[in-house]
Order: sequence, then structure tokens, then C-alpha cells
Amino acid sequence: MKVSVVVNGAGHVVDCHPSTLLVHLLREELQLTGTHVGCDTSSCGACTVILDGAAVKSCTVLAGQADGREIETVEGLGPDGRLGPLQRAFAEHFALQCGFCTSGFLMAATALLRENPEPSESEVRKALEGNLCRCTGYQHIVDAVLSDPTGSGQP
Amino acid sequence: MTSIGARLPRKEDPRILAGKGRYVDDLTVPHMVHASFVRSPFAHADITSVDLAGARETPGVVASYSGSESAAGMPLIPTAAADWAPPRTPLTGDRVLYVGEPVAMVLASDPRTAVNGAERVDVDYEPLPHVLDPWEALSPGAPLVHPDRGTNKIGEIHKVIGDPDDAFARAHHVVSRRLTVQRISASPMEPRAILAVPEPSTGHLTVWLSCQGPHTLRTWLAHIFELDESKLRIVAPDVGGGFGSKLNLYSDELAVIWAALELGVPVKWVETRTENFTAGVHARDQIHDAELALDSRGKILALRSHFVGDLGAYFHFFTPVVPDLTIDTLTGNYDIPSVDIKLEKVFTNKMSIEALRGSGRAEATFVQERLIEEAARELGIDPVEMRLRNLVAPDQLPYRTPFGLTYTGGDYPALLERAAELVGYQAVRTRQAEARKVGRHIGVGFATYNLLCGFSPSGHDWNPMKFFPGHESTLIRVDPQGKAVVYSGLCPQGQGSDTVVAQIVADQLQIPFDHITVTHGDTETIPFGGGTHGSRGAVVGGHAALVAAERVVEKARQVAAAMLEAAAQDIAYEDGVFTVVGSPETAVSWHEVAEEAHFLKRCGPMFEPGLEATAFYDPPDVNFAFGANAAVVEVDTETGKVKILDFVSVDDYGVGINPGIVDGQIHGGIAQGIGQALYEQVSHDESGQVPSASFSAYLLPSAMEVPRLTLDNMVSPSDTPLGVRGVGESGTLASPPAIANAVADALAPFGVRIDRTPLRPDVVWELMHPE
Repeated sequence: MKVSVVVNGAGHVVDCHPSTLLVHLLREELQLTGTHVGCDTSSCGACTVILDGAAVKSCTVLAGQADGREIETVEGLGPDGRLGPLQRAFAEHFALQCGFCTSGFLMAATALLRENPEPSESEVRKALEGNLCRCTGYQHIVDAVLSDPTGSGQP
Repeated sequence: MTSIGARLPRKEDPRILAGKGRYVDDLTVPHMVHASFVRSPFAHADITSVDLAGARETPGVVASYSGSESAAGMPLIPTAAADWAPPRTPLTGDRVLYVGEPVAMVLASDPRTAVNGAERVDVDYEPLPHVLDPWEALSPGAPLVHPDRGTNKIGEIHKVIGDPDDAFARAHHVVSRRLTVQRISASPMEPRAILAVPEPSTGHLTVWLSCQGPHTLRTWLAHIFELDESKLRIVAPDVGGGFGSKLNLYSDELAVIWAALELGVPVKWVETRTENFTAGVHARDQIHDAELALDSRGKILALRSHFVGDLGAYFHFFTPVVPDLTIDTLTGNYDIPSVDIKLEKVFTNKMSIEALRGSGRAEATFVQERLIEEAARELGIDPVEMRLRNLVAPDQLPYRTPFGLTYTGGDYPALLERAAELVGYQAVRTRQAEARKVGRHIGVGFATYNLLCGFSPSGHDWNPMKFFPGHESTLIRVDPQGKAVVYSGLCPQGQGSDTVVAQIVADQLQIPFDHITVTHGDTETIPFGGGTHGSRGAVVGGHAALVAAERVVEKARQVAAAMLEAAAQDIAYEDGVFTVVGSPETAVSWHEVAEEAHFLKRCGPMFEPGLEATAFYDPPDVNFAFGANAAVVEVDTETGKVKILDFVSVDDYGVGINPGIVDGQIHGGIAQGIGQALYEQVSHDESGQVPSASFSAYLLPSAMEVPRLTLDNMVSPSDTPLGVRGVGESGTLASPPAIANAVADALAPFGVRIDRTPLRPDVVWELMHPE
């Protein structure tokens, strides 16, 4: 089947099997390997992307369900391949260690900050509940999201 | 100019934050095929037949192998740590010994087709009686995991030091408990992954592997497959967490390599999370019958623990020595003159246990700190006071433990007192009393730890493992512009050691941090090293970098001496400028020296060209880091849910090289400890299945379960040039017993015994409702 998607602002038409998951479309067809697969029960959130403005786990979305829709991945977060404010805040706060979960946290936090530019700590923690990190203990991630990276809440 | 101690941003971050990290699953090479495994659904069974026809008929399947067809051509996999190991081949041929054991492998043009093909492999099994409980495994008539041995007992170590029998005979009080540290999983966010790329025309093989140290694995690979080590290259690209679980070459990984060599094409395999829980190594799993002999003031006279270590069915590299670590660390920071420790190691029909962040020492800390807490309660002594009466005091240093370890630094009572102060101990007691009046149950718990770390001096008792070097390596190469590339033998999985190493080198070379690039994890470019495990990054790898940098500066000094027409011993190096002592106007810069070192235009051949040095640093001894944790919890007695209200960690890791990285290590260790204390358990049902084999059943703590952590530190530099001790595993040791002690404190009015973890709501509820 043919799937038409806009990813990070660029249009793509991809020919894929109906059982293809969105995460595999991104990783294997579009070579956007910044989105990772960490489990098989949609528990870990490493594959989180933004689909029409909402954070979703791309391992539980069929590529066909994304047809005609707009997807944002970690590769599109910064302007012109540079790091955006939230990404820089992650570096400043030591919010990543092995980095495997990081893109999922960045996308979940981006969706949160667009909806709620000045979240409380408990709102941040609640919004990140669907993303697992085994390295950081979360505190530095929460600090990065709470640091109001742009002053306007816009990541 | 000093980088050490500065909160410099990590060199690793920009690439990963941009989504440009490179983990094994992100790699593709031409003509690559993908593997999927057929695994045993039985804990113990004979394989009566394997029919690969269905797989071979699946369109897109390239090849399929069963252990029963291929085992004869496959090598045996040895262990690093024992003279004898149960025979293990990449694919099992005749009998499976645990659920998840690989029995067949299907290779296909894409990963989904490989899975579909594997699902069409038909294996017939004849189930055999199995044994899962270690005590049952030791009893007569138990099913034998390895019948040839005639017993499930792997071995026994019994250490009696001092006069424990006398101490127990004359004790004012004895506290006894059976304490269980459950089986857990490392659960790195990136599962295991491998891409084996053979080059049949030359006989070379490159293996991209998510691992913790490529050199030792290269030696093992050459040994196992009888290959020429010089034709093998192992590369660890970005590694998404390891925590001890990626030190090994596993059966399935070896099957992938074997298939790549057989077929002459690249083979890739990425583990599923379910596989990581069944076929990835487990950890902990000890049961201690432990007791303390005490005098009337609560001074500990002796510690006895007779414990069993359930090692599973096979040996991975460290399997048989992990519980040994528990023995010699059981007295922790406490002054205990007499000990009687007996360990029995047992085979069961489960996956192997292995190293996991804090391995051996976390089990010891749980046992000692639960016992001391219970002793305080039974004697009516405040638990902080109880510990202060028994901790090794600063004036006892250097202190030799009953097991012969020598502690030379630190103030253990001060660390505990600081933790009590930061948690507001007296205020918590007041709050606890107030809460009890309205039926709420708050508890406070403490634990201290002593982390034996920095593994390990070659030839030392702590380093009995074959083909595991105790040293670490660093090569520093300075280019004509004066910038340096550092090739470190460490193999980080998120520890940030590229940054730490750069900070150490920057201070020695006196060049900007940004002029240093650190690379690691490739046997083709990096000098032979040990990799990253056992809190050794800074204390072993850091010193290798330090010594290499000192050698580079020494070489630069010779070049400067030639340029300045002076003797090398008369050349001073400060702020990036070489001067002749006594005439500071006679100077050359680092950049000028670096250029001259390569082109010799000013001096001619007065020195060997080049500006680089290699160092192999073998630590003179193991090291110790220590600290104290305090936890405040509230237990909902209606639901059994434990909520952590406050958590304090006061640590002495010696000199900290980068505070952001060090704090992150402690945070992460504590989060894993919270998981061990409250949520995580690899469970086996009666048939030996693993119902916990997913993140929906094996619960890692999320941002909702890990509270904001309060950290403080004290600095007692180690007896090493950098003064560092170790920090990678620190958070994992005291956090589980501190939380368990807090739960016990909260539930003290109910007479509930906390003898095991995890303290999940259902477990706590059942403790509250024993009927």
C-alpha cells in the first residue's frame, strides 16, 4: 500500500506492507533512526513521535493510520539541523546518559510544553510517565523540562 | 586552568540529542540478512525433533539452522571464571535447561520475515522434571540440571574468621532472619544487538556489538571459534545501557556470528524485550539465613550468614563469582570482629545470573542493613544510634576487615549523621507520631554502604577471570595544530566517560576542553583495554588517561627543550607555554611545540618525531566508595502501596570529576534501587515460564515513582593521583535496604516482618493480612 506522510515538514510517499508500523516506516524507509524501539508492549516510550500535534508511541500506530498526516521526530526538533532550546536544556541539565530513550522524552516533553508552557513538576512527571529511562533516575530530565527553555514555553 | 571538578557539558550529547546517535540497530550494510530465534518454552526438556521445513518454505527466508542439526559444527562456550563450565553451544542440540534457550535460528531478508519463518519451525519436546527452587535443588532426589555432575550444588565457600561460635554463645541478644534478595533484570533500554560482517575473501570478521568492552570479547571470540585474533574487529558504537548485562558473548550472539561465517554474508539480530527478559542474563537471587550476635549496648560481636546463590542453568562469564563478592563485603562499614559466612552455589532450570550494577555488594548491603535495623528494634535502640555504635570510626583507619580488605579513608559516622540531618530525622519522627494519630503510616529508614569498586588489579584475588584484564588503556595522539584525539579503552554505555577522560587530559595538556576528541569501543583503533564495568571508569580508565597525558607532556617538554636550546629538566610548562626556568621570556607555545614535533623544521632530528603516548594502567589495589541513604515512606495500609516521600543520599566518591555526571550516576543507581526495593522481580511460575517477561509485568520505576532526590557529598580523596574512588554503582547498594527499613518502620505497629523485596502493593497487603 502507498502511504503519504509529511515528516518534519517534508512530504513522502512510501510503498509499504499493510502491517508496517509507523516506527518501522520512519526507521527503515525514511532512515530516521533517531526514533528507537525499546520494547514490544508499547510500555517504554522510546519510539514516541508527534502525530498531528499529539505525542504517540509509533510502535502502536500502523503506517497506514498515519496516511495523510503530519509527523514530527527528533530529527526535526532543531532548526536547520542545529539543536533547539529543549535539546540544549537537556545537555545543560545532564538529562541523558546512554541516550537510547532520549528522543522519546524530547518528543513527549515537546508535546507537553506546547499544550502547557509552564508546567508544574508534577505535571511534567505525569506527562513523562509513559517514557522509561534506566539511566538518569529522571531528575535531570524533569529539571530540563522545567527550565523553561525558551522563556515562552515553546520548545 | 582546571577542568577536573567542573560541570562541563558532555561531549556525547549534541549528536544523540539531534537523533544522530548510532546504535547497532541503526546500522545497515549491503546484503545484510536478519536473524530470529526459536526458543525453548520448557524449563527442562529433551528435544526429540526439529522440523525446519516450514521456515525454509517461507518466502524471503535465506537459511535456517537447528542446534540438533548444527551443534556438532558449533563450538563450546567457556566461562571466564571457573575451571569447569556446563557445556553450552550457540544453539542447543538435545536438551533445553531453561525457558528461552535458543534451539533454532532463521535468517531472512528482513526482520519480520525472519520472525514469521521462526514461527513455522516445529520443535517436539519431551518434558523432563525441572527444579526452580534452590533449596529444593540441593535436596536429595531433586531433578538434576546437569546429571553428569550428580548434584546441583556447584560449590561451597565457608569462611570462619575470629571466634563467631563464642560470640554467639555469650551474646546478650541474637537477631536472626531469612532474608531474600529477589532475581532482577538489568533491563537496559536498548536490548542486545549484533551485526556480524564477514569478509570471506580475506578471512576478516567485523562484529558490531552492543557491549561493555570489545577487547576481551574479541579474545573470547577468537578462542571460541579458533580464529586469528588479528583478523577480528569488534566495535561497540553507541550502547543504550548495559549495567553488567552486556559484558558477555551470549549463545544467540555466537549463533549469529557462526551463521555469518557459514553463509559469508552480514547477519544482524536485535533482541526483543521479551527475549531480553528470558534469554538475557538475570541477577541477584540470594537467600540468606543471617544472624547478628550483640552485646547489651548493641555492639555487634559477630555476623553469621549461611546463604544460597541460585545461579541458573549455565555459566556466563561472571556467573560463578558474583555471589563470592557478597561474602567479603557482608560487614560493610561496620566493625564486626567475627564472621561465619557460608555460601552454597546451585544450578536451577533458569537463565544464568550475572553481574548487574552493584552485583554481590548490593545483596550484602541489604542483608547487613536489614539485620542491623531489626537488631535496633529488638534492643530498643534508635536505628541511627545503633549504626553509630558499630560503624568503623575515623580513628580506626586504616581498618582491616575480617576478610582482609583495608579501608583507608572516609568518615562513615559523619556520612550517616549528615543523611539524618538532611532528612530532618527528628522532625520526621514528630510527623510520624502525628500521622499515626490519624491512621497514616509514615516510616523512616537508613542504610549505609561500602562499595568495593575499581575492578581490578591483575593478579589480585578479585581478578580471577580468564581473559579479563585488570588494566585500562589510553592512547593520546596530538596533531600538528596541538589538538588531541584520545583513544580510551573504556567502553561506556551512558556513563559519560568521554567527557570525564577529556577533562583529565585537558588539565594535563593545558589545552581547551574543546580541543580534545575522545573515541572508544573499537578494537581496530583502541589499545587493548578492559571496558566499562564495576565502577572502574574514572579510577582505572581515568588514570590510564592521566598517565598517557603525562607522557605526552614529557615528550612535548623534550621538543620544547630542543627548540629553546635548554635541557628538558629546565623546561617548565604552565598555562600552555613552555619556558626555560629562570628566563620566562624564552618561551614556546603548545601549538608551536606540536607543529615542531611533527615537522622538525627548527631543530632538525634532535628527537623522535611525533607527539603521542600510550599508557596501560593497572590499579595497585581495588578501591572503596561509601555513603549513607535515608528514606521516608508512607504505606497505604488499605492498598499496600508504598510511596517514597523523601530520599537523601550522602556519598563519598573521593574527588568528583564532573558534578553533573556524578549526580546523574547516583540518581540512576538510586532509581534502580527503588525498582529493586518496590517493583522489580523476574518471576518464574511453577512450569518455569517467565510471566514477568515484559515491561507491562516487570515494572521499571517511571518519573512518577522516583521522587526528587536530595544529594550531598563528602570528599576523602583515595590514595591515587586523581583522588577518585568510584560512583557508577553507588546508588544501587543502600537504597533498597533504606526503603525496606522505612517500610518496616512504618509498619512497626503491625508487627510485620520485612524479609524480602520487592515490596509491591500486593506483597505488602499480604504481609498486613497474613490469613
